[in-house]
Amino acid sequence: MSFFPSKTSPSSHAEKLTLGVLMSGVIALALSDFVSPLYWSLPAMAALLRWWRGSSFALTEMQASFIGWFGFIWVGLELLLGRPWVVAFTDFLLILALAVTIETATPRNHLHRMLTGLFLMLAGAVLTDSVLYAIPLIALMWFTWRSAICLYGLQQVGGDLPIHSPRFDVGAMIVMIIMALGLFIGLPRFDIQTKLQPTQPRMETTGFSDHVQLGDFARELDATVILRAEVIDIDADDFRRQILGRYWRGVALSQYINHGWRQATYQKIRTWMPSQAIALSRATSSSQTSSSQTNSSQTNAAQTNSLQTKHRYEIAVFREASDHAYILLPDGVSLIQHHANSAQLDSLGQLRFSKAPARRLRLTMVLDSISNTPVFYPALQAPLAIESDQTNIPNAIRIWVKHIVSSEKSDQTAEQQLQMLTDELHGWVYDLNAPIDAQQPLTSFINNKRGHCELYASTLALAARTLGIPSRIVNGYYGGEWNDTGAFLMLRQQHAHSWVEVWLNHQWQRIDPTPASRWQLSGVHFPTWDAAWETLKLTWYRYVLAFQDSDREALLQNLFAWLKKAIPWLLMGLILFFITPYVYRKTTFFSWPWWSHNIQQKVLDRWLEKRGVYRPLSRPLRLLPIPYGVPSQAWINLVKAWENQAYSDPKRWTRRQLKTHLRALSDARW
Amino acid sequence: MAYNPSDLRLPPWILYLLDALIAVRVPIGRYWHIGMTRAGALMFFSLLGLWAAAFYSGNNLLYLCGAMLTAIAMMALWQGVQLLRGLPLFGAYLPDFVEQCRPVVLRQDISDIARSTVSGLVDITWSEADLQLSARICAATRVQGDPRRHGDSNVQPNQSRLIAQLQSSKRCYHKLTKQRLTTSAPLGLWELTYQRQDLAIWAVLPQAVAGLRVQGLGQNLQHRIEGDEYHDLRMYTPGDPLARIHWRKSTLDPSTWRIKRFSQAEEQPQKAHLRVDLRLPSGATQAAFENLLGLTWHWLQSQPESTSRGHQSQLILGQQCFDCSQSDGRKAAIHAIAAALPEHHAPKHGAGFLLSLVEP
Repeated sequence: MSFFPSKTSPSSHAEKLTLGVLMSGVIALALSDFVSPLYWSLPAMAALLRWWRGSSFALTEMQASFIGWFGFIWVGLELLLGRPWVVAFTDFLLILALAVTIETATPRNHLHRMLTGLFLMLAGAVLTDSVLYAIPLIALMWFTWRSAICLYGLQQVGGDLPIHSPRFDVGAMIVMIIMALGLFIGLPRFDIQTKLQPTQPRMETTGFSDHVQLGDFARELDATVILRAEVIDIDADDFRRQILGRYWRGVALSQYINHGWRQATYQKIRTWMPSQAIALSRATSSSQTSSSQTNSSQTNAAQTNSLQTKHRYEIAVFREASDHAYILLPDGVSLIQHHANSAQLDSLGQLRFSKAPARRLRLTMVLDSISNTPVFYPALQAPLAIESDQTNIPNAIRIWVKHIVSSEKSDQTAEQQLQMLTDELHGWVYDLNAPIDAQQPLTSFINNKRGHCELYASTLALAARTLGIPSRIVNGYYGGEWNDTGAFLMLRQQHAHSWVEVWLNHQWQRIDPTPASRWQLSGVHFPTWDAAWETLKLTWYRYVLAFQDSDREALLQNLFAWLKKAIPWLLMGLILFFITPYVYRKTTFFSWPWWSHNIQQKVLDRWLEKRGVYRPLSRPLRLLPIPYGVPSQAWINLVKAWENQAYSDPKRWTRRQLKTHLRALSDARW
Repeated sequence: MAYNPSDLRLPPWILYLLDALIAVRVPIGRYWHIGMTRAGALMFFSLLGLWAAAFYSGNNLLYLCGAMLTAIAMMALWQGVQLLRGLPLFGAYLPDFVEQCRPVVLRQDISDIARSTVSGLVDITWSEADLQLSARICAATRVQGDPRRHGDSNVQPNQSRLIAQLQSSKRCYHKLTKQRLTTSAPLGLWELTYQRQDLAIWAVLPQAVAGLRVQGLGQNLQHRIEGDEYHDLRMYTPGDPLARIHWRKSTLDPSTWRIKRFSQAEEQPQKAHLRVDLRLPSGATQAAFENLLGLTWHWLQSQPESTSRGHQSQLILGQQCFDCSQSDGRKAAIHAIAAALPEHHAPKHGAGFLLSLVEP
């Protein structure tokens, strides 16, 4: 059976529209990184060919069913080979999509296409969380609506019903989108379990494992965003001043081995369940920042001192799905809420989830303002023996320390000596591409005097140990990038950073030996576009993916607050639109043809149309035929009364009076 | 409808369950009921599953998908409601009468719904009679404003049409009031029923029975047709004898039929009177009563409608009297024949031939 009788026939429309439904589903699933391009490109190409060649590019139902069975067997093999069942299922759906794309167009094929398209869309809802998902979703909505209209009209009594112009459906589409948004916002969330939550491939990160090789971490200007933070309860400008220049602490590495660092054995201090808020007590009362922190952080602190802002504020942190379990702790964090998994704090001051989350997370954190920020939160214990271990320190470092320290006065304290070493390192060159001797990375770094932050931090940490100061390095992030478009902070992978923690004056203090020139580098090529795109992604994530009952409450509160503010204006609008014309009309004899007469005409016209009479514009009632079912004399009386009130009587009928007359006329029929 | 789930080759028991479901009608407001089609039932259960998954998981994208499909279903419902509310009264399109056991095909263009933007098929029934019509509503394909208001001849009018095959096996007369409109437009998901008041007459007449030879106008006409020349032609009106139609100047469309008028008949006013006794003796059957009415109907058909030349035809049907030479009187007589019931009293006195089942 051919479904291409002509390009404008309803059958031809149905063919294209159901193909649109199917392709919307394929695109939705293609957005997921779990799906191989090979699988989604096959139905896509088949659809293009089908669109181009029409029914000449079609297989019979039997032939198409072979493809479906092939897909079934193929996916069985995939499962045997260990492919995850969700991914295997999507592969099967895409092979099925290929089969129904090139199958002969029949009513059954149309149904297959619509159902497969819908399943693909639902699979996409589980396997992707991309903002681009909105596009195939809206496309699917349009094509489903149009194809259902078209299919309904096919093979009806008396032949196919013509399909109306698409522009008639634009209004319906807008209403449906608004309706869908209303349902989305209004319906409650239960979140009984998280198996069907949208997932994404986890980002692979280096530097957050127990054993880190030098050169693994922070060596690329990777613009991938790993975390976004937006303020909840203060002004965006204040937030910008407060949030920039903070260190986001990740993993602490204490044991130096020849080519890298290893984590020391730590003790678990406390565990929090998902429903509990993580309260991080202040271990060190110091409010001073290390003198060796970068200039930008000092500048920000100085700016903050001048601010008359509150000392604590709440931020929402949107964490991308990463392959590590560490919760990045910004300076001054005192409370973490709304964490989906249980978390534990250890003796090295590391906070991590019990298991690395497979999807994006939103956490709420309470921060102290920078002016009150101590070096560390939370409680940290005294140094371990391994943090003073000098066994693996390269000779080049010992010589370098001796050279720097001995050249100055001999009565310097350890802190002053450390400051000298830091100042020396600040004068070296920051170079991501500096050649590193894999066998002796620190030796080559000292010789070249150029390298990346991991080398700077390692050198200073080991130098501190030669001076008898316990030390370790910390891998995390620093600073971040402010997004002006969306007023939020972005931490990219290029903001990955290593610094040093030293035990001085009975407390751990942070020293950052990396030159400030490091923060002038960026891998973002189109900043304006990137800012807009990241804003869109955060908006999608913030208001769609992570939408919760609390958001609805906040939305309603905002709406209520706005209404409270707008009530005077609304009242004024009401007065302007209704009361003023009414009063004006009552106090003058001015007629308002657009106000009353036209409304009455509409009522009358509608009544006439129901009774088979269509009144052309400006045609008097007396020239119209008698409406169906109305006694002739009653109609003549009405026409006379109508003309009397319209042309001679100053008191015209109101809409209600006209309706009363018309009702009387209808009742006079029998 | 081209997407019936039975196309999916579902097991018979599922289709049986679906059919049981689609028989259910749920009131959703005054005059409104809703049911499901087979496709609608599948859609309904898909939505249930989808929302269950969304509530279970808290996946907001599933919420979005569910909201989208629900919005489609609700919009379909809304447009169906709007379609039914915007339909004109169809009672006007019913024929004045039909004859028992003689099917009448109704194909009538509907010109009053140019504003409809939805195509669909609407079933029209009245609760008072076993009568079913279908309205085929076609949305305008090209509309640039209202064609009749602005005189835009480029706009294609929609091709909405009322289609029905009217047939009744039983003589009856109903004043139809409660009309029921049913549609599954625009998507074929929900079976919407709207009950409204649409007044119409449904008159089913008995089959005409020939054989009555009444002295009067009808008989005279029979003679004249054999030899006399006609004077002029006039338009056909229901009830005119078919023998007087000038077939060569007429087409199949009844609105083009022409009736021969004879000068002799006009010069010599004729009177035709018929009295029908509606009493049903104890031994007589209902079939005999119907036969009596069939004879009456045949007589009435043979009477021309004439108001200017003085022809008079009067029908006394039981206690009622009708002037059949007037269109109103003829119409009333037709309705009275359709509604006639056995009476206990002798017919009204008057001149003319008496038709009765009662032995003198």
